[in-house]
Amino acid sequence: MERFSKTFLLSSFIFRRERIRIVLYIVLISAFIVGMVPIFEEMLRTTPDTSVLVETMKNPAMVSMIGPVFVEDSYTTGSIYANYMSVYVGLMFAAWNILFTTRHTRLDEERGRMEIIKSLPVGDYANISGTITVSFIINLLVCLFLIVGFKALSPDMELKSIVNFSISTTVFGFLFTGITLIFAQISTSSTLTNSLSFLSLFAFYILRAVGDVSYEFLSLISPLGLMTRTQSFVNDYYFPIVILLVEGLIGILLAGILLKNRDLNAGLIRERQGRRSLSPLVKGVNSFNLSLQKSQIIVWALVIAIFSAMYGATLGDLETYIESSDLMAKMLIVNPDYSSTDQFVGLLILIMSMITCLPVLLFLNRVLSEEKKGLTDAIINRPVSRSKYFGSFILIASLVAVAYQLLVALSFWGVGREFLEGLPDLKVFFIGAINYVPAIFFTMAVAVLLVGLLPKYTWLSYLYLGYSFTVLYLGRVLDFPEILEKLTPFGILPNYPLEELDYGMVLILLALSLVLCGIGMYGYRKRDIG
Amino acid sequence: MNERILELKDVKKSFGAFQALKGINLELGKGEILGFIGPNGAGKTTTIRVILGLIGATGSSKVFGLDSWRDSVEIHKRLSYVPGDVNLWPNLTGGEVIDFLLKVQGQEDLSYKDKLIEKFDLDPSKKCKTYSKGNRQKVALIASLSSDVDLYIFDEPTSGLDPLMESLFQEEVKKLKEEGKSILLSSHILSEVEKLCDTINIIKDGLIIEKGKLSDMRHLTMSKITASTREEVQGIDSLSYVKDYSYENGYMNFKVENDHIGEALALLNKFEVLSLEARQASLEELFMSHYEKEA
Repeated sequence: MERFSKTFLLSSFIFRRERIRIVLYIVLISAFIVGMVPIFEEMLRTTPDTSVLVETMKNPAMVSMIGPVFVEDSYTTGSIYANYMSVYVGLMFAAWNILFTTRHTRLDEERGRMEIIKSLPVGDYANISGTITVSFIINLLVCLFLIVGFKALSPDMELKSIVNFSISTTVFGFLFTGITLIFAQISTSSTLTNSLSFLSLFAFYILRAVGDVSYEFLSLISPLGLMTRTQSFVNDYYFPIVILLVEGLIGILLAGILLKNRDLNAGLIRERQGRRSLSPLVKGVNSFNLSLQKSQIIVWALVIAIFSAMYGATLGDLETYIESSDLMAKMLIVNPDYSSTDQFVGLLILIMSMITCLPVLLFLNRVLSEEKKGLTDAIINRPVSRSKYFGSFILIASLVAVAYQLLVALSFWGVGREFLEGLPDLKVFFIGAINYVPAIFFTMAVAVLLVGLLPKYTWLSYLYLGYSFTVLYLGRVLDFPEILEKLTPFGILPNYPLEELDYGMVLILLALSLVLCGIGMYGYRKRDIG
Repeated sequence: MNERILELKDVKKSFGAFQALKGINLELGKGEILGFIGPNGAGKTTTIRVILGLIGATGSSKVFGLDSWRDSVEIHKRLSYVPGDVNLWPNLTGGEVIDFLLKVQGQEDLSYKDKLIEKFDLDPSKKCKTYSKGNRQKVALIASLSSDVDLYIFDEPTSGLDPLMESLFQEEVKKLKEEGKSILLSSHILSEVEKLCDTINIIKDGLIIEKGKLSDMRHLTMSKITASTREEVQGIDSLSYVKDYSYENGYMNFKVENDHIGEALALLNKFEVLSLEARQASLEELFMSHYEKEA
């Protein structure tokens, strides 16, 4: 037991360090998840025959995105909720578990804080057992909040199914505490730990997507696929949860063994030998900042290409499913003068453009994370103006936005034409994707403004993107007032190829983006750095 | 010999192809202060991490007679460590961190803590992210110095402190010694080591190249001579025990190993000495010449 000595103390220390974050996380995530229920209640209320909904959900495109349908005939509030949401809830929980676990293991080690802890009389396993304990408690609390929340908001839902849903998703999340612990032992940096953990989450998602559509076996090896096999609100099985728990325990044990056999600050994956001198390609601030972000740019390019390709692959089944259900039609058909393929292409380019916008914001906001780490000083105290410095991040983010949009078009079209004859020309895809570039620029310009004037509130730019996504995605089904869509740059632009291009609006958005960037740059020049 | 607090025998450690420690032998007796000096990258911190059981190594590393790697918890109950580069939890205050560290250490008597906070002039109510390097170091030093343990390990403890704080720290270390505590002090600031330490170990490229009592090491130490003679001196710069010979404005400057000082003076005398000034070379200079010799 000596190896675990002081676990309790370290657990309470983690609670103390995370006190605000923990409360916010538990409250917000539970509220968000439970808060989605009314949307589905509304959806059921406005659909006279829910068996049609069930049919639409059996579309392979939908199945690959959000998981299989277990309902036989018609939906209840619970079963439609679980069908639409369980995979995404699982992903969100997993993401939190990854970030939390990395923060308290490899990040502490990388920052040299673990050295202080480990030189105190604490057991070898005290820190990871403390991290596991806290993670377990938080996941448990979220689970309880969900159960209480669901039951309170929607008393019709059956308690035993609510319990099954809440436990299966939180256990899946907790599994990632175990998985991340393993990666924390084998990688030598927190970035690598996070990357490997998210990569495995992504792999589980893809495995499940392929498995759910074709070989179910693949879904069963994927813990995410396994999680959906609890069939919450339909059969409420528990055996998948038991398997997930066992997998989590194996992960934890493996991490423990790896930890015992390694040095502090060491990992199994050896750091690549770095360059002895700067690459000749790096000639100035722009290319330097680009080289800082290059691996993230490549990873995101892969993610975007894969997503576009997945959408492209769903094109083949499209017609049949649109014809079989009204809701699907409502989601897709905006302008009946056009073919359903055009409608689908328009919708998916819109969705992909908003997905592209997320990494663009990340690359822009890199300027702030550099500042927080005190790295900005080293550059701007040399003969580099602040405008040039900040401008280089804007430039990189803008170029990446254009490149990613071209990638979306290329990948979507390239895969799509293998599955569907009579697909529009590549040119249509290019125009459609480039059409949304001004919208991405505008969202990015909002971020520029925030970085310059209100650096503490840069999260508002992500919120704005989230708002665009919610309104435009759900708005198709839920009939939001049109003004809500027009408040987003993506909604105010026409949806090519269904609508005529609107060059005037393009110019207005570009001009507004320039103004916002100008103000943001001005603010950045005037404000304190650091 | 009194009780062995620390004993390293032939400790070797490699990181990939790089051999950081090539067979370190180290001993520290009860109530002693051991100075551990060497340039950057010589292996000081790696050695300390082996002692603490943070990293494994071949050979034997024993603290209080226990194995560093296996019995780390038992060992850590009786020692306290301040790293050279102190990193703290950004969203906690210095006061919170000190209390937490003492709590984990198992220190119950906290009376000395407040005295030290006052003495080192630390504002414990500020968040650690606002602290400078020196203030973070103070936090770790206060936590360590107010722990009642048998062995203290300080890795370059004063690198971020101003001279006043440095002397306060030295005062505290002397106090610990009077209480019979043992201390391992790693540094590249030789004046510090010179003032505090009983025994000195010089490490370079993963090997202890020199060790002993400060007084015993005087055989290696040198005197700096500045002299002028009526006649021009011939042949002194070619002697093996004379270093850094230079001639300027009628005065010659050189260093001579202390065991050969008589011979050097005898030689000088042949050329009629007009003036002579000799002083003990500082440890700093000894150290430098040592490395020059190696190079």
